[in-house]
Amino acid sequence: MLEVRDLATGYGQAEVLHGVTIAVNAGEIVAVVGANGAGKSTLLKALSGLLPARRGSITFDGARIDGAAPEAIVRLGIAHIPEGRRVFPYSTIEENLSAGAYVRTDSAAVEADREAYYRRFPALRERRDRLASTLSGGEQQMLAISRGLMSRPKLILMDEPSLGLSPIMVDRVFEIIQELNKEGKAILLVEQNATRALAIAHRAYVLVTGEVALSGSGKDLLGNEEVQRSYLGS
Amino acid sequence: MEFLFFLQQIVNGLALGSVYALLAIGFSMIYGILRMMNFAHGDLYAFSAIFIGGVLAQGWPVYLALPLGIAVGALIGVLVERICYRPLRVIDRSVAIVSSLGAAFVLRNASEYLFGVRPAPFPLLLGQDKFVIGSVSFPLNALYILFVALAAIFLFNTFLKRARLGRGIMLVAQDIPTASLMGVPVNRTIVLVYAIGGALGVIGGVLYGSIYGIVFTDMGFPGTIKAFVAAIVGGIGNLAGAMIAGLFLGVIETLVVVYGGDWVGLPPGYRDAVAFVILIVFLLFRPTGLMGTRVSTAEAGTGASMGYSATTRRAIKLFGAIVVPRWMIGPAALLAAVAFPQLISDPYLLRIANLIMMYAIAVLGMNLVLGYCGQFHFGQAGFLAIGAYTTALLMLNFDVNVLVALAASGALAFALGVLVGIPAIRVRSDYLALVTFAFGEIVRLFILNSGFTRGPMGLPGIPVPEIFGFKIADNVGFFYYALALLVLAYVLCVQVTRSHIGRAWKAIYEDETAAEAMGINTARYKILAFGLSCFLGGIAGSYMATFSRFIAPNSFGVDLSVLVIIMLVLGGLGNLWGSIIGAAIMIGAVEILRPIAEFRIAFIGVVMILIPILRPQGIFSGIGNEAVPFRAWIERWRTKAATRHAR
Ligand SMILES: Nc1ncnc2c1ncn2[C@@H]1O[C@H](COP(=O)(O)OP(=O)(O)OP(=O)(O)O)[C@@H](O)[C@H]1O
Ligand SMILES: [Mg+2]
Repeated sequence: MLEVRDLATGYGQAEVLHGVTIAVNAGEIVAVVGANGAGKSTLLKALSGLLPARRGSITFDGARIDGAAPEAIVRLGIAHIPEGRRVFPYSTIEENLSAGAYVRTDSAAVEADREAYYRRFPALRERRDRLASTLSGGEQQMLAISRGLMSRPKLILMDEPSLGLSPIMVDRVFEIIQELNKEGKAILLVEQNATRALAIAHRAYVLVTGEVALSGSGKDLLGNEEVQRSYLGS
Repeated sequence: MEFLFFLQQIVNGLALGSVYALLAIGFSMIYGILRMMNFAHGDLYAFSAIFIGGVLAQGWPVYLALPLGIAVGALIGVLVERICYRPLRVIDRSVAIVSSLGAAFVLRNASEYLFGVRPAPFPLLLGQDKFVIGSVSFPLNALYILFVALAAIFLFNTFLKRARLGRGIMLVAQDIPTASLMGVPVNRTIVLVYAIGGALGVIGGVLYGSIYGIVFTDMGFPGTIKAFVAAIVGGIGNLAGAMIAGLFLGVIETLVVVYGGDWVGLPPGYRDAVAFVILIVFLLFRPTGLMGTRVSTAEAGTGASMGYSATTRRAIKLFGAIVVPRWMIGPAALLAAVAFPQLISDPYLLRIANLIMMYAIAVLGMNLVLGYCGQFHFGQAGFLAIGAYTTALLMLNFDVNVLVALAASGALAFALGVLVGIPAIRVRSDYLALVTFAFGEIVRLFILNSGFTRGPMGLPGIPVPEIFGFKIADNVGFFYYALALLVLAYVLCVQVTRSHIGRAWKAIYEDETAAEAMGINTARYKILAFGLSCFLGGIAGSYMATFSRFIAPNSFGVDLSVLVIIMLVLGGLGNLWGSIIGAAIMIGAVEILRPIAEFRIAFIGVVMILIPILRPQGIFSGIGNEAVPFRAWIERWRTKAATRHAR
């Protein structure tokens, strides 16, 4: 579904990714783990078009998308749920959800989807007319996920969805990821919480200073000694 | 009766305020969304209004002329975005202050060139019907104008709320990258913002023409200021607030003109000062505006994270830094300078050299406050004026020796500079730009409207200065006088920047919060930076008075402040040598361009647009090791503003 070959990108003069090759197949949860500053967020930004690729190729459903603008990539069915949630703070919950459906023109179906997410996250429904900045961190994450889903993506890029959440909320987030996957969405998950991410991932990559150091099934990597030592803190 | 007259003034004020409201909405929207102060906003409105007036005079029907003019305004808005704003977006939006001022200059020059400097007639499109109660007649067209403005604003507001493109604007205003992840076409949306802002401004210009029957190039800059003031008072990004504040400003101005003379003896020339006073009061006491703010506290977009554009990278490569061995510069330059008048006796060249040195002193002052301490100061012209007038008045009226006058000028400028620095403690940096700017304008308006300065006529016949018995009467004399002042100013700057003061400035510049945490009294050092900066401005002004022997308020306009800033940016912030070189380049360019004087302002404008794009760190940043690249400077400035926001 998504194929990334030899992708290089960076900021200004600095190159951060030096030729990354990964793939996500339909129906998979793929995890990308790595230390702070390894370039995980950078990878997602390149995939969603926020950063231009300097080398290599990105193919989605058989079409090249490197060089496409973010707004075009959303339309193809990739949703990027950014690090730090990035809800629109001065828009209401409802306006945030509508923002997620910006590319859609089928307003009746958009309405129905919004209702569906309200059912799933009743806390959002209760606060639908409040500004998003008034939500708690966990609620904001639910909003950010729902907002991303409002574009009806085939592939979801998630950047540290569990960051800064209470243990109960972390559980909930990983539950949701698995639910979404069961509903047929492919998911590329970037996480600091490597143990949890590897546990639910079908396959995973370890990113070290902008390069893929290891890859394999989630279970294999979870059992891998080196990964244990460097990333799982044991 | 008295009351009806008052009511009539209110109606007139509301009509003028409608114009301001329309301008303010466009300005507020562009600033709220892009953090860009669009200084070209008023010139766009003036240009388009004159254009429409011209087209109507050609006999075009109104229903064709208006849409055409609005289209022209929208197109200019789009061009400003494309040329001044978009290439800079990836570096930093705030650098765009300089280039949008450049665009304002280009537009103004184009307007003068194409339409002439004299006011052009504009048909009273809304008629001259009056509505008479007793002996007081109310102009109906004022009410129509209010109605048209409100209708335009209402339509626009509905567009923002309901239409898809409008919703896109609201998302881009909050977070550019995330908006693009939602599928909002960011570039097109931003273009749209400029186009709509331009179109609303043009409607304002048409209404202005319909009230007063004339439109002219010089209404542009005050237009920008009024728009800015209304946008601030209303709360940046708060469109309803901008509208109300615009109306309010129009009413206050009208009342000041009508009653100000009777009540407090204020001449009508102070009308434009009203806006500045309101601005300063608001920035000091209520920086978030009358109505609070909705959009501005959101850190709009982080476009800066995306690296430079290809053009910029190419340009940086092309104009690599010019490296000169550092130790050679000082002695060589001084030697060359001392010998200069002996080798070159051409009075024209000497005159230019004198001008360069005078400007260099003022630029050095700017460098302290902006390049070292990182505080925006947009009003150096005001301090040149203070220095020049102090010296001139003392020498003319009291026959004071030039050195005493020089000292008095410096001292007064220092004291007032300290006063201006006080807002720096409270006000966010990009607003500080406007406070200082407003102060500079107030100084000019004060001089223009006071009797003892002889108002617009200026002060001629400033006596020949005499230092220790030597009369300084020719260019050579003035050369050495200027050189001595420049060397002293330079040494002062070197000493100060190397001392604990310079270290404190550097700490403030890099991270004000951290500097405070380290126990640095940031308020005191910031105020000192302003004081010293203005002191040098006053010294330069004093020299100017004796050197040119005639001074008039119109020499101390905004152009002068802007010119000083360009010189500084050109030479590189935090680079003392660069300040001198920047002054030399700009004065040289202005002289070389004398044959095409009518395009001079446009030329300066083009330079201002190009420097930030091509070489954001200044042209000569390779010289001197303290040079702070402009981009890094502006980035720090922005992160500071952002953290202050967050608190
Ligand atoms: N906006 C930016 N401008 C310049 N450099 C950046 C920017 N964002 C990230 N970097 C640099 O790129 C490198 C990779 O950053 P990235 O955010 O991709 O790391 P990460 O793996 O997501 O780390 P974390 O786990 O902390 O989120 C880092 O060295 C970082 O300093
Ligand atoms: Mg990250």
